Amino acid sequence: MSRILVAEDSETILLLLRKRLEIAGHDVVTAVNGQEALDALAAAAGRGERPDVILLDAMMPVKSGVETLRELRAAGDETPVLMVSAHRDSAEMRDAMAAGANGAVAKPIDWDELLALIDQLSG
Amino acid sequence: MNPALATRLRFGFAVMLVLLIGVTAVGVGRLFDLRRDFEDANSRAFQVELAGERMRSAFVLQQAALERARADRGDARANFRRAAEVSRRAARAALELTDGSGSAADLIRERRRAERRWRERVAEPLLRGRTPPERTQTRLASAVVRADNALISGRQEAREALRREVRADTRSTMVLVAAGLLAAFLAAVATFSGLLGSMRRPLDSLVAAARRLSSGDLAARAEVGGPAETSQLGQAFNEMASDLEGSYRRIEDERVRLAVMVESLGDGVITVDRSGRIRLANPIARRLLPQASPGSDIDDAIGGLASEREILHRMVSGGSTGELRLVDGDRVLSVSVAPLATTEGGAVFSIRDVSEQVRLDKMKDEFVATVSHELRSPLTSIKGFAELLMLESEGLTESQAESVRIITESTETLVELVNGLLDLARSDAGRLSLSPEPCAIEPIVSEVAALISPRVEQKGQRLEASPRDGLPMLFADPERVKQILFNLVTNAHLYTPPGGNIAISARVVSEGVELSVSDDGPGIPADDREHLFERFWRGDAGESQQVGGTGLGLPIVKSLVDAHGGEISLDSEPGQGSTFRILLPAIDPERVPMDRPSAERHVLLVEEEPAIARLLVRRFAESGVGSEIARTGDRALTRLREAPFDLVLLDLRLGATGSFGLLGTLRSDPELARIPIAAVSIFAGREGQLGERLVAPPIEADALPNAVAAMLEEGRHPMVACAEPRRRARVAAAFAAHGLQPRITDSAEETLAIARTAPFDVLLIDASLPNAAALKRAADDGAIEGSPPRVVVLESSGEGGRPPVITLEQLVERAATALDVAASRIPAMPQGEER
Repeated sequence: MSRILVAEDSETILLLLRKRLEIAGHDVVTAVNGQEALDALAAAAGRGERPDVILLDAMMPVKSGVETLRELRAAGDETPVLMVSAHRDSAEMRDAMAAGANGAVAKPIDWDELLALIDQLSG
Repeated sequence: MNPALATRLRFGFAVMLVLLIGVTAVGVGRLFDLRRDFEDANSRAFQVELAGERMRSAFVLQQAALERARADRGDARANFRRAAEVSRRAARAALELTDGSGSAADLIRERRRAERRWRERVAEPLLRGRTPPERTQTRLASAVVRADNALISGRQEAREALRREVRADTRSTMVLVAAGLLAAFLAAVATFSGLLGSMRRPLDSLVAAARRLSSGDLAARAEVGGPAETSQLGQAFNEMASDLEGSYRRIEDERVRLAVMVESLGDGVITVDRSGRIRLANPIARRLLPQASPGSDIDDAIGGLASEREILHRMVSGGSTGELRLVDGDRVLSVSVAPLATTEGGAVFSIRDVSEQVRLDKMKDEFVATVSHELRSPLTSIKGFAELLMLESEGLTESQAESVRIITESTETLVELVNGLLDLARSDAGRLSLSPEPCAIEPIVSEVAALISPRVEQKGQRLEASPRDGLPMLFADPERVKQILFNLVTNAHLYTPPGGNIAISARVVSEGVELSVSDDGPGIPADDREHLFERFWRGDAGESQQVGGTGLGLPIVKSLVDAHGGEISLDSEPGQGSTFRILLPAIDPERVPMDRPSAERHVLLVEEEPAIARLLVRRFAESGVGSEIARTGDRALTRLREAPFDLVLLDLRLGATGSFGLLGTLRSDPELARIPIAAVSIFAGREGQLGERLVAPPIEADALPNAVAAMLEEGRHPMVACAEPRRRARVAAAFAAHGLQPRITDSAEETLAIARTAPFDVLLIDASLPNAAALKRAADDGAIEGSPPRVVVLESSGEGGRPPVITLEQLVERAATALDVAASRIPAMPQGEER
């Protein structure tokens, strides 16, 4: 069981992610854009509840997943990050990998794959 | 027509000869006659003179006889008479000689009369004893003597006169002959000058016409005339001039036509001379490139825009055909260059503004990407929530559960559809990314069978999937092969009635491996076959059946097979079933030795996770490859600088400096850039983006060793093959058959770009690329940094981008020679098995 921060702009998908991850026994914190995710991280760090894995949607308003990832890594935060994107091999994904993402899942999400990756990254 | 010159000359010579002979003959004849007449007259005069002498002596005898007769001697009288007779006979003979006429005859008669008078008045009286007066005797006797003298001296004078006369005649004859000869000579001169004169006019005219023609006056014609020769010459010259004028006019017409065409072309056209100076630029060219005016340098006109100025330069000076793109802000110009195969050389640039096309392509790509992205979000939700419902289905009625199941299935179909469309869109754009590698057939077939078997069993069908052992490895993208097989088997499953049979089999053919999927379903009617690969076309499987599927399966299969350079074919007999066969490139097992010493190989494993690192070390050791572990990127860099390694195996999940940081450092370090890097990644199929080989965990039995072997080989001989996109897979397969895995690019630009970041030793160029020659020259001339790569060019042959296998083989042989790789030294794949 891991603590997972999920940032996703689509509320339905956010809900879906939360439900499926919770069914799998994970503890889920959500954010609807990158900035919120960073804020949530800061808040969590303050409470001493750092997430084990962060899921970032690649395309989000205010602050995209890649930008968020860059800021995270620039700040020295090496929390494993999984990107969620419509395409596995897009320019964004290349940027994300170069920026230090630890993995990616494509939409529609293969839950087995996602849960396996989370286990691998948090374990 | 006038008689020929030769005839005239012959005739002239003949006439002159006849004249000369005639004149000579007449002269000689006349001289002969003169001589003969002279001798006749001379001899007659001489005989007359002789007769005169004889008469004189006869008269002396008569006088002597007369003296003795006076002394009365008996016989004196008879002697006298005899002498008188002699004198008379002599006179008669002389008269005969003179024919009785002429001065000589008169003198002879005068003499005879003088003698007769002497005889009558002196001799006769004396004989009769009478003595005539002394005076008379003396007068008459001296008259006789005088007549005698007159005759004799007259004859002498006459002979002298004759001699003078004949001399004069001879002289006049000689003069006449000389005059005749002179006349003949003059006649000959006149004849020849006449002949020459008849030739001179036409010849002069011919010379003048030739001069005018050569100075550009094509209307110049020669006057035809003179002897046959000159008139023929004149005619021939005129015909030639007419031909020349006709040809010139045609060329001129052609030039005008061409000029108008070039001026009105929709594309820009620029011609340059050998030095790159612009000779011609049509209006479109001047509009697209405002500096492209005749006389200026092509470099100035487009060089400022050319991203590959080097290539451009070489194309201009080297006379090779090629294409390049000029990007100037939003504007994209496509420039193709063709050498001018003229003595002057130079090149033709044709320029097209493809900005709109590029923009549309980009828009289309963006549209497809956006659509599929936009579709994916709601699909994710629908699918996700439907699955969620299924997970929590305890509270649902059976009917509700059935509805949820249908939603889930339909969503899956929709997902397939979206993925299929995206694949097809990429394939259309030529961006279907393949990562071909040596891959075993059996695991792929098993996986596909495992994926489909639940559905097959549900429909009561039987699936037989047991490819023979010992098949060679494919050289293909395993994920894509899986996709191909899965689509074909899905089709067979959908179209075959319950209880039917489906089989997947494989066999070796000369060009590679043939995979086939057959069923004993209804078969495909001949009419339908041409539509099989059309998008969204679905066959009719019988009225009672509802066939699922997206209608994109076969089109995707076809584009994937094409992308591999393979072939797809169909055998089908209505009522008997169908068999789809796909031919994919394979690695010739005989060319890849499976056991080779590789202890000298040394691999650096950059792996944080000790368990995985240990596993890898063990696996490499089993394959005879030495390895060493670096837990961090920094450690890895230190070790790489200290010792030579053949390969770096990098776990992309590496923390701290991060695997990508290490990758970047390795790439930018000139010392280390050549070390091949195999990345272990959770993201499969992305080699193309990183320019490295990746292995996706869970690490499959063969994937890692294969990738490692391939990378070792690459590291040993960094090589780039630049090939026409459609040939790509075949080229790759041909190299793979030799255990070589070149990096494959499909344009000169890409190759040069790679050369800037990752040096390589050998460059192979597919000659069918538009700018192959320019690239080759660029490589030859050391435009590619680092040590000049050895260049091998693949000859272009055949059509449709399918080079005959033999040519590829030759290429590979040449490449192998260039690489100095003996077959025995090609590293085999470590065939470790993961337990």
